[in-house]
Amino acid sequence: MPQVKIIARNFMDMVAALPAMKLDQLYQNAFICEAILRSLPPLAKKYVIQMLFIEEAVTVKSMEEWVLPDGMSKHKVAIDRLLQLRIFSETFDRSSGTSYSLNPTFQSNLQKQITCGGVLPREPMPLTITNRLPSLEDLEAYALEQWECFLLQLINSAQAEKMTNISSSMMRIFQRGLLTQREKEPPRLTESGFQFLLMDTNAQLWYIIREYISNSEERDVDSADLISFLLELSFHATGEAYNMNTLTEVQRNTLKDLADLGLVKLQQGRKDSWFIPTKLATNLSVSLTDSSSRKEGFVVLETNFRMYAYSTSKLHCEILRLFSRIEYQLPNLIVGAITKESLYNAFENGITSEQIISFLQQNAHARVADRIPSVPENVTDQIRLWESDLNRVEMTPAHFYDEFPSRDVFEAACDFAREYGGLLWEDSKKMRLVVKTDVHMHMREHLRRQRQ
Amino acid sequence: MPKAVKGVLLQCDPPQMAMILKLNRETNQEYVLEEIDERTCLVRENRVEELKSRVKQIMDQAMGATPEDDIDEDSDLE
Repeated sequence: MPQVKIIARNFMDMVAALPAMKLDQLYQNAFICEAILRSLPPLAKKYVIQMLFIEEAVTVKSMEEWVLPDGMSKHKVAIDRLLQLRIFSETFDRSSGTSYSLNPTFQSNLQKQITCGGVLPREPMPLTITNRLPSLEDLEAYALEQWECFLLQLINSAQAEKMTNISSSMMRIFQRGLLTQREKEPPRLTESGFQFLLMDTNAQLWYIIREYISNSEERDVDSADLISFLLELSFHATGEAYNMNTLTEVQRNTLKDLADLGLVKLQQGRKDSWFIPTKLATNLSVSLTDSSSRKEGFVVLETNFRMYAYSTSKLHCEILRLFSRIEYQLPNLIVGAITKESLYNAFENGITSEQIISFLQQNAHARVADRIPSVPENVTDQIRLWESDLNRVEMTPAHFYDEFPSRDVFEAACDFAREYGGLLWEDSKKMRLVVKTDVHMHMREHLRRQRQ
Repeated sequence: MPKAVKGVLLQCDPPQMAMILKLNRETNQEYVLEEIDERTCLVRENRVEELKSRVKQIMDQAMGATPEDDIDEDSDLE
């Protein structure tokens, strides 16, 4: 799913933006190295693997021989990424030119990982202490419930019954950008808020995690520590218990927040307390790779625009309400219809037809998911048509020029505007033209110069 | 020195444009600065939003946009 990739990439941009020293520190953790490797573009992954057991630097020239001419742009992207993340370091030598070598810490960590196999970040606790652990199904249900509860609270829904323990200041940080925050006015979802709700869980989680990290300094938590802890957490086994006393104070506090999001479940025994990572946590670094897991869908859309959503979730109902008319609700079924009005409502809120369609396709019920297309074509076409109907008029801020003294001046002005990519319309007979407002200032300068 | 007029370039299909021009005539040229061709015109910057909402109003009327409440029972679920 493209959204996950974009957001995950943004997360890695955050990692790349860390100061060099912190980045080097991060690479001392083998799990970070693996997570970073997973996040790289395919070609960059290949280069890292290819150079993993080469101790010396490889010259740019010989690397360029590895790629075909039309792969050059991808090659550049890969190299840039590797340099940005300080996985590659550049050295210059008079005789052989520029060459790259792998970050030694990163290299030795990955070598170990490959030759000795992966190990877990910490040992799970023996069953003798923890007694009975929740089953994987229970754990998943718990994670989903926590996450849903958090989301309902996030969008300020009246449907939220249970409150999470997330502080209201933290909640406001998460809501920043998703809800309008004007005084004396009930908060409303913004355009990105609507789009946020239509994303799949992993993408939403990444968004929240990113906000959580970028605000960590205000809570006196080092962002590099936090990133490393989160990535490390994703390498724990789902459903196993891990002792809390293996963690630092800061990490323990972080875990409390993560428990509210449904990433971990906290439990307490007689003497010890422990945390159990859920699927949400262990999926964090998996979703950095391209593979996307398909969840069970729940929506059936018919050719007559009627929609049946087999779900007990209040959140699903809230999401469907964004773009459809909910007619009635049974304990496990939401029935509604996609109407012109409901869609116009959605478009006005900044949701695009493509987002709605991809949401419907991604959440298609198992009974219809195998059909091609899973959402009836006449419905998707109509959704697109209704949207384009709203955008029949296209507007561009512009300046209109008239009364040119001579054809030469007119033509020079046209060429000038074209060069800036700002020529919207020209009429050479009457010598009139329209340019975008952004180039108006340049245009004015140009005409002044001409006159002198 | 050529003359420059600030505005918003409006591009749409001919029927829509005809409606905009009609609106403009009825309101004593309040909106349109220059009629360029049957798909383009230049509109006064401060009147754009007003024009947009008036056009939408007329379109809604023309399209007969009334909430449909017919819940049809013919389902194509097997």
